[in-house]
Amino acid sequence: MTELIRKFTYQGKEFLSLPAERTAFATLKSWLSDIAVELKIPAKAEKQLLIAADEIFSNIAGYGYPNGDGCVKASVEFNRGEQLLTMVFSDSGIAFNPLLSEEPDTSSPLAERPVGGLGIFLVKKLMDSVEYRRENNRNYLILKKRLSCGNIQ
Amino acid sequence: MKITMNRTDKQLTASIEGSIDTVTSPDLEKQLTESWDDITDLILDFSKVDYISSAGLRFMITASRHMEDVDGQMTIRHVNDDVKEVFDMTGFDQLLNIE
Repeated sequence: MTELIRKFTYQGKEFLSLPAERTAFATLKSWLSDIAVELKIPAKAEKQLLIAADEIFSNIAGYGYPNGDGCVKASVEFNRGEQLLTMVFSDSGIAFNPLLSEEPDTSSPLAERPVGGLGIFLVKKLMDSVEYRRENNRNYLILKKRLSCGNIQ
Repeated sequence: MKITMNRTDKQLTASIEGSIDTVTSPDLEKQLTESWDDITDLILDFSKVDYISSAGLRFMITASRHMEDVDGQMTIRHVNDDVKEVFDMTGFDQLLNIE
Protein backbone atom coordinates (compact mmCIF):
# COMPACT_ATOMS: atom_id res chain seq x y z
CA MET A 1 0.00 0.00 0.00
CA THR A 2 1.32 3.44 -0.85
CA GLU A 3 1.59 5.80 2.04
CA LEU A 4 -1.19 8.36 2.47
CA ILE A 5 1.10 11.32 2.94
CA ARG A 6 4.00 11.65 0.60
CA LYS A 7 6.82 13.86 1.86
CA PHE A 8 9.17 15.05 -0.83
CA THR A 9 12.87 15.09 -0.18
CA TYR A 10 15.63 17.17 -1.68
CA GLN A 11 18.94 15.38 -2.01
CA GLY A 12 17.92 13.04 0.77
CA LYS A 13 16.83 15.78 3.17
CA GLU A 14 13.29 16.49 4.35
CA PHE A 15 13.55 20.08 3.20
CA LEU A 16 15.28 22.27 0.71
CA SER A 17 17.51 24.84 2.40
CA LEU A 18 18.34 27.94 0.38
CA PRO A 19 20.16 31.20 0.90
CA ALA A 20 17.63 34.02 1.32
CA GLU A 21 18.56 35.63 -1.98
CA ARG A 22 16.15 36.20 -4.86
CA THR A 23 18.29 34.31 -7.36
CA ALA A 24 18.02 31.13 -5.25
CA PHE A 25 14.38 30.92 -6.27
CA ALA A 26 15.60 29.17 -9.45
CA THR A 27 16.53 26.10 -7.37
CA LEU A 28 13.19 26.11 -5.54
CA LYS A 29 11.35 26.48 -8.85
CA SER A 30 13.14 23.54 -10.38
CA TRP A 31 12.44 21.34 -7.33
CA LEU A 32 8.74 22.26 -7.37
CA SER A 33 8.56 21.62 -11.11
CA ASP A 34 10.02 18.14 -10.60
CA ILE A 35 7.41 17.47 -7.91
CA ALA A 36 4.67 18.72 -10.25
CA VAL A 37 5.81 16.27 -12.91
CA GLU A 38 5.91 13.40 -10.44
CA LEU A 39 2.42 14.14 -9.13
CA LYS A 40 1.11 14.91 -12.63
CA ILE A 41 -0.14 18.26 -11.42
CA PRO A 42 -2.02 20.11 -14.20
CA ALA A 43 -0.06 22.98 -15.76
CA LYS A 44 -2.39 25.64 -14.41
CA ALA A 45 -2.08 24.47 -10.80
CA GLU A 46 1.68 24.11 -11.19
CA LYS A 47 1.96 27.74 -12.28
CA GLN A 48 -0.17 28.82 -9.33
CA LEU A 49 2.11 26.93 -6.94
CA LEU A 50 5.19 28.49 -8.53
CA ILE A 51 3.75 31.98 -8.26
CA ALA A 52 2.85 31.45 -4.59
CA ALA A 53 6.31 30.04 -3.83
CA ASP A 54 7.93 32.95 -5.66
CA GLU A 55 5.97 35.48 -3.61
CA ILE A 56 6.73 33.92 -0.24
CA PHE A 57 10.38 33.26 -1.03
CA SER A 58 11.08 36.70 -2.50
CA ASN A 59 9.35 38.30 0.47
CA ILE A 60 11.69 36.55 2.91
CA ALA A 61 14.70 37.24 0.66
CA GLY A 62 13.77 40.91 0.45
CA TYR A 63 12.79 41.69 4.02
CA GLY A 64 13.49 38.77 6.34
CA TYR A 65 17.15 39.39 7.05
CA PRO A 66 17.83 43.13 7.05
CA ASN A 67 21.04 42.65 9.01
CA GLY A 68 22.76 40.07 6.89
CA ASP A 69 22.60 36.67 5.33
CA GLY A 70 20.02 34.08 6.21
CA CYS A 71 18.36 31.01 4.89
CA VAL A 72 14.93 29.75 3.92
CA LYS A 73 13.75 26.19 4.34
CA ALA A 74 11.03 24.77 2.14
CA SER A 75 9.24 21.46 2.49
CA VAL A 76 6.49 19.89 0.42
CA GLU A 77 4.07 17.09 1.15
CA PHE A 78 1.09 15.65 -0.62
CA ASN A 79 -1.86 14.02 1.07
CA ARG A 80 -3.28 11.50 -1.39
CA GLY A 81 -6.54 11.00 0.44
CA GLU A 82 -7.39 14.68 0.52
CA GLN A 83 -5.52 15.48 -2.72
CA LEU A 84 -3.96 18.30 -0.77
CA LEU A 85 -0.52 19.71 -1.45
CA THR A 86 1.19 21.54 1.42
CA MET A 87 4.23 23.80 1.07
CA VAL A 88 5.90 25.07 4.23
CA PHE A 89 8.40 27.92 4.21
CA SER A 90 10.36 28.82 7.31
CA ASP A 91 13.05 31.31 8.20
CA SER A 92 14.83 32.61 11.28
CA GLY A 93 14.61 36.25 10.19
CA ILE A 94 12.69 39.06 11.82
CA ALA A 95 9.25 38.13 13.12
CA PHE A 96 6.83 39.07 10.40
CA ASN A 97 3.34 37.94 9.52
CA PRO A 98 2.81 38.95 5.89
CA LEU A 99 -0.85 37.91 6.11
CA LEU A 100 -1.51 40.96 8.25
CA SER A 101 -0.29 43.35 5.56
CA GLU A 102 -2.90 45.60 4.05
CA GLU A 103 -4.56 44.37 0.88
CA PRO A 104 -3.79 46.45 -2.17
CA ASP A 105 -6.57 48.44 -3.78
CA THR A 106 -6.87 46.57 -7.05
CA SER A 107 -9.11 49.22 -8.54
CA SER A 108 -6.85 52.27 -8.11
CA PRO A 109 -5.61 53.97 -11.29
CA LEU A 110 -2.09 53.52 -12.63
CA ALA A 111 -0.68 56.77 -11.26
CA GLU A 112 -1.82 55.94 -7.73
CA ARG A 113 -1.16 52.23 -7.80
CA PRO A 114 1.34 51.27 -5.09
CA VAL A 115 3.96 48.86 -6.40
CA GLY A 116 3.98 46.67 -3.29
CA GLY A 117 1.49 44.47 -1.46
CA LEU A 118 0.53 42.45 -4.51
CA GLY A 119 2.52 39.33 -3.73
CA ILE A 120 0.71 38.21 -0.59
CA PHE A 121 -2.60 39.19 -2.14
CA LEU A 122 -1.86 36.80 -5.02
CA VAL A 123 -0.83 34.00 -2.65
CA LYS A 124 -4.15 34.28 -0.80
CA LYS A 125 -6.04 34.20 -4.07
CA LEU A 126 -4.14 31.28 -5.60
CA MET A 127 -3.94 28.98 -2.57
CA ASP A 128 -6.81 27.37 -0.69
CA SER A 129 -5.34 28.30 2.66
CA VAL A 130 -2.38 30.25 4.00
CA GLU A 131 -1.38 30.21 7.62
CA TYR A 132 1.35 31.98 9.58
CA ARG A 133 2.98 30.71 12.75
CA ARG A 134 5.83 31.95 14.88
CA GLU A 135 7.57 29.11 16.72
CA ASN A 136 11.00 28.80 18.30
CA ASN A 137 12.07 32.13 16.86
CA ARG A 138 11.16 31.07 13.35
CA ASN A 139 8.50 32.29 10.93
CA TYR A 140 6.43 29.56 9.32
CA LEU A 141 4.16 30.02 6.33
CA ILE A 142 1.99 27.06 5.51
CA LEU A 143 0.37 27.07 2.09
CA LYS A 144 -2.20 24.48 1.07
CA LYS A 145 -3.74 23.79 -2.29
CA ARG A 146 -6.28 21.17 -3.19
CA LEU A 147 -5.51 19.58 -6.52
CA SER A 148 -8.89 18.60 -7.83
CA CYS A 149 -7.90 16.35 -10.66
CA GLY A 150 -8.44 12.71 -11.34
CA ASN A 151 -5.04 11.71 -12.61
CA ILE A 152 -2.96 11.99 -9.45
CA GLN A 153 -1.88 8.56 -8.36
CA MET B 1 13.52 33.70 -19.70
CA LYS B 2 14.45 34.83 -23.19
CA ILE B 3 13.68 38.20 -24.74
CA THR B 4 13.73 38.88 -28.46
CA MET B 5 13.54 42.53 -29.45
CA ASN B 6 12.60 44.11 -32.73
CA ARG B 7 12.84 47.81 -33.29
CA THR B 8 11.37 49.82 -36.10
CA ASP B 9 11.64 53.60 -35.79
CA LYS B 10 9.82 54.45 -32.54
CA GLN B 11 8.24 51.06 -32.06
CA LEU B 12 9.81 48.32 -29.97
CA THR B 13 8.39 44.82 -29.86
CA ALA B 14 9.72 42.56 -27.11
CA SER B 15 8.76 38.91 -27.31
CA ILE B 16 9.19 37.28 -23.92
CA GLU B 17 9.64 33.56 -23.46
CA GLY B 18 9.41 31.77 -20.09
CA SER B 19 8.29 33.02 -16.71
CA ILE B 20 8.46 36.61 -15.48
CA ASP B 21 9.30 36.01 -11.85
CA THR B 22 11.49 37.25 -9.03
CA VAL B 23 14.64 35.94 -10.73
CA THR B 24 13.92 36.97 -14.31
CA SER B 25 12.08 40.29 -13.99
CA PRO B 26 15.22 42.32 -13.09
CA ASP B 27 16.64 40.99 -16.35
CA LEU B 28 13.57 42.03 -18.30
CA GLU B 29 13.69 45.45 -16.66
CA LYS B 30 17.36 45.92 -17.50
CA GLN B 31 17.02 44.88 -21.12
CA LEU B 32 13.91 46.95 -21.78
CA THR B 33 15.03 50.12 -20.02
CA GLU B 34 18.31 49.97 -21.93
CA SER B 35 16.43 49.71 -25.21
CA TRP B 36 13.46 52.03 -24.89
CA ASP B 37 15.11 55.45 -25.44
CA ASP B 38 13.04 57.33 -28.05
CA ILE B 39 10.46 54.54 -28.10
CA THR B 40 6.83 55.68 -27.95
CA ASP B 41 5.18 52.44 -28.95
CA LEU B 42 6.14 49.51 -26.75
CA ILE B 43 4.64 46.12 -27.57
CA LEU B 44 5.15 43.20 -25.22
CA ASP B 45 4.40 39.90 -26.88
CA PHE B 46 3.31 37.47 -24.17
CA SER B 47 2.51 34.50 -26.41
CA LYS B 48 5.34 32.47 -24.88
CA VAL B 49 5.04 33.76 -21.32
CA ASP B 50 4.45 30.92 -18.92
CA TYR B 51 3.38 32.89 -15.85
CA ILE B 52 3.94 36.24 -14.18
CA SER B 53 4.44 36.87 -10.46
CA SER B 54 4.23 40.18 -8.58
CA ALA B 55 7.84 41.07 -9.43
CA GLY B 56 6.81 41.06 -13.09
CA LEU B 57 3.56 42.90 -12.36
CA ARG B 58 5.50 45.65 -10.61
CA PHE B 59 7.65 46.12 -13.67
CA MET B 60 4.54 46.25 -15.87
CA ILE B 61 3.46 49.29 -13.83
CA THR B 62 6.90 50.89 -14.15
CA ALA B 63 7.00 50.30 -17.89
CA SER B 64 3.45 51.50 -18.41
CA ARG B 65 4.11 54.68 -16.41
CA HIS B 66 7.28 55.32 -18.39
CA MET B 67 5.40 55.07 -21.67
CA GLU B 68 2.75 57.47 -20.34
CA ASP B 69 5.51 59.89 -19.31
CA VAL B 70 6.85 60.01 -22.86
CA ASP B 71 3.33 60.32 -24.32
CA GLY B 72 3.67 56.88 -25.77
CA GLN B 73 1.78 53.65 -25.27
CA MET B 74 2.42 50.15 -24.08
CA THR B 75 0.46 47.18 -25.37
CA ILE B 76 0.56 43.60 -24.12
CA ARG B 77 -0.38 41.04 -26.75
CA HIS B 78 -1.27 37.35 -26.87
CA VAL B 79 -1.79 36.78 -23.15
CA ASN B 80 -2.57 33.16 -22.23
CA ASP B 81 -5.48 32.27 -19.91
CA ASP B 82 -3.32 31.70 -16.82
CA VAL B 83 -1.55 35.05 -17.17
CA LYS B 84 -4.88 36.71 -17.92
CA GLU B 85 -6.27 35.30 -14.69
CA VAL B 86 -3.46 36.95 -12.70
CA PHE B 87 -4.06 40.28 -14.51
CA ASP B 88 -7.78 40.03 -13.75
CA MET B 89 -7.27 39.10 -10.08
CA THR B 90 -5.03 42.07 -9.46
CA GLY B 91 -7.05 44.56 -11.48
CA PHE B 92 -4.19 44.91 -13.96
CA ASP B 93 -6.62 44.15 -16.78
CA GLN B 94 -8.04 47.62 -16.11
CA LEU B 95 -4.63 49.31 -15.83
CA LEU B 96 -2.83 47.88 -18.80
CA ASN B 97 -3.60 47.89 -22.46
CA ILE B 98 -4.05 44.19 -23.12
CA GLU B 99 -4.98 42.94 -26.59
